[in-house]
Amino acid sequence: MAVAAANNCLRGAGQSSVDSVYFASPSAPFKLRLNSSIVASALGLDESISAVDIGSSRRSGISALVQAGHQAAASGDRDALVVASDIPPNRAGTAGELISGDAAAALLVGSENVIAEIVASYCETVDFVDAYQGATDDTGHQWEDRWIRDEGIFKLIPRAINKLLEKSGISAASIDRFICPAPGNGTTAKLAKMTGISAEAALDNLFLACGDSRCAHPLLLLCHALENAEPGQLILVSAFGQGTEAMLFRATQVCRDFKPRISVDNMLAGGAEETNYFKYLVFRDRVDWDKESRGPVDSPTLLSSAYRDRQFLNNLRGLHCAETRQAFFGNEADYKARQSGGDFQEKSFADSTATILSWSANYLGVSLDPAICTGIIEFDEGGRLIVDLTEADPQGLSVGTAVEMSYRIHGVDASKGFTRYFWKAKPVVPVKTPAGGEQ
Amino acid sequence: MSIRDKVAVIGMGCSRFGERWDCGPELLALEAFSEALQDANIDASQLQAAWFGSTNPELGLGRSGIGISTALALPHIPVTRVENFCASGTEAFRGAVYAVASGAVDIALAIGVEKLKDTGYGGLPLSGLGVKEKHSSATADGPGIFAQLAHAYMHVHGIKRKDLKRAMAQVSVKSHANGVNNPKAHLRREITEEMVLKAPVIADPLGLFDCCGVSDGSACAILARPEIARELGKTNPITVKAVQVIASNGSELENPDWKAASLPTVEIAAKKAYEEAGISNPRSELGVIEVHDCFSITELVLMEALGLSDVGRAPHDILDGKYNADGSIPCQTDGGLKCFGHPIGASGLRMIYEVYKQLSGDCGERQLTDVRLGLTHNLGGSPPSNVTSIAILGQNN
Repeated sequence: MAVAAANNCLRGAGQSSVDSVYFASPSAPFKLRLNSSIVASALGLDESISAVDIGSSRRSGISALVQAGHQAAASGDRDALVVASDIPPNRAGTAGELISGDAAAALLVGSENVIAEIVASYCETVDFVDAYQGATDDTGHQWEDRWIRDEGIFKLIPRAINKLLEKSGISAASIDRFICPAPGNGTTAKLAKMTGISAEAALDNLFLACGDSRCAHPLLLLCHALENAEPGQLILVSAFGQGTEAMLFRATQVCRDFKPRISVDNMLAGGAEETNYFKYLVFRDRVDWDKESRGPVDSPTLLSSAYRDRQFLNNLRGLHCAETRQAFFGNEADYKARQSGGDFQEKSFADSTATILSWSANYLGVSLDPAICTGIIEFDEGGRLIVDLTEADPQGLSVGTAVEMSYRIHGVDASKGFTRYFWKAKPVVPVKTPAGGEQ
Repeated sequence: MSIRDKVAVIGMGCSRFGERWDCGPELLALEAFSEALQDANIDASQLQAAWFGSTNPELGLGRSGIGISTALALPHIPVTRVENFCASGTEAFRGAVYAVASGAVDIALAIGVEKLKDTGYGGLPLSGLGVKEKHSSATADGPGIFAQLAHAYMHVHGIKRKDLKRAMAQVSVKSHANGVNNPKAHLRREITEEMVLKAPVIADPLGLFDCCGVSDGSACAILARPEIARELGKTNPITVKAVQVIASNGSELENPDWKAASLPTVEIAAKKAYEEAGISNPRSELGVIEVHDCFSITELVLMEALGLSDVGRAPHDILDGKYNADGSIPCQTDGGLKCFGHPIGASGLRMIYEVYKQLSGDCGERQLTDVRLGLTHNLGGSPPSNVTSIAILGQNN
């Protein structure tokens, strides 16, 4: 999700020169391994960049954005990429499961041609434990929601917002958009009223549309607000979690021309409804389903080997010859290219589109989402790969179906806990508009 | 350089194939080996070298030659274990043929054994493609990867799904009809086109009857130079006309003109094998063929790759009965992988066993008339990346 959101952001932003990546998530795949380096390498970013993980809190997305703002201000013409991504882990049947959603959001922070300026930021840190996930827990726990609301949200958030407004010299009444994805119905409206922000400014937290994506959510709502902003609008975004972190933005003239590649509205309109709760439980590994009915599945990742091949595995990079329409991947690519004699150049196929040369849908193999769809694809520029197909309905597949590449989990080493990623091909679907049309 | 007529098959044996809960790999091997020794009319002490094919050493006789040497009490001779996916049996055959042809040994053994039914689950044990599989390969098992051949074939040749399904069904109907007459076959029951078409889908568009089963079994050959064969009383021995084992080198996927509906490595292997055997017109010269029908679509496309059907015409030839037991090129007269079974390391030698028996006039109810040349073929791996083996045997004229 983080790679997909960042790709959407970077491609929408056009040319950029990223020199730092901030990745925020309390549900990152690794406790010891820089998760932001996974994102950076999948995006094909230069190895000279800095990368930072920020986790452990609902507010880590905003914390990352604040830090990126400082970094961009200090480094002049270089950009900082902020990605917040979260998969809230919940036990089956809990309220948390009902309200949660998975999401990732990304913003590019720089000093040139910006669509919104950072006016001010403010942070308070209070060890108010509304919810937590212990180091050895695989799901979270929370205290009574009424206590969280009365002692936490309605006391700590207004205090921080008032301080932010005071610090920036902006009156509450002049705030045009107010984002505060704290739990509970009508919470944002109540907080607006408590702080003197107009009721019209309080934005829908989209919990009913896509669930509460915790640390990603303030950024998701900020993206949504920026996509629909008018120049001069003041946008206040806040996040709650062991205190409050809040930022104030002013939209610039550039926002008029800002056309996201795929907007939040497009995403929400393009969703596919899934009503099979059991499938959800299987996807979440909340039922002990039989992964080994066709044999043992443990397959340890060879880290030294994966490192040697990282350009291909992480960024789908190979050698490509436009004239002969050939591509070679992996360790033997260089030898093969020299043997072939064509004019081969390094190229990442991560952003390439391709068509299906052949495919199959296997109903017998073990999968958490049968049928297993695989195919041989041919990139539009030339070059083939045999790949897994994802988000693919067998009924809609055929030779010639257009696909794009998506960075996905390739496997998890059952005994070693290592999550291995690689690229899968996903059928290209039209970008949907909220009105039900296609873009 | 050709090995044509330099090596004779002086004896062969084959175990009964199937779910052999009654025996492990040692007894399977002994079953085939005993028959072969008797057929060759020699004593095991006369063997001077052996090649052993298997693909699942952890379930079988281990990774070296020791397991098979011990099981068969071979007389302290070099024993080489080989593994080349589904071509492993023919790979063992090639090693023994080359050893005899070179003059290094007088009599050599080639044996393939596979014990697949000791895993505790259905289907094939997972076999590795190497490090790449761990890091980036698609989740494609046999049915999934071979089903892709069918979708591409329909697209490239403009064939409707229902027409291809019917032709594929006939591949299996024919093999089941043949398997009935083979007492050693795993599956011995006739099926109808309707049964095939109504069967559950395994990997679209392949259904249950488009896929071969999982079997235990062993087959072996004893080889000697023709003059030694004659000394042993084989007055008109069956000889090896050609053996080719070719590994894909990546050129299928790397060739922008390849549309995933053909088997280029097989085409190359067939050309070399025909040349080695001195065959100019395989359609009229081959009297029997045993090909790698792991899936019905594989057999269908193979008919084109082996030059036996025109490109795009295999479905028509199949439906016309060209490859039936009474057709112009009888195929899988023993039931094929589909019904005889597919104990991987033994399969190539099992095919050679059938061709040898047909050439010897020793096939009982399924005996064909006037067979002078026969071909076997294996495809180990997947359509875009495989080991192809072809052996051609014939009367020594």
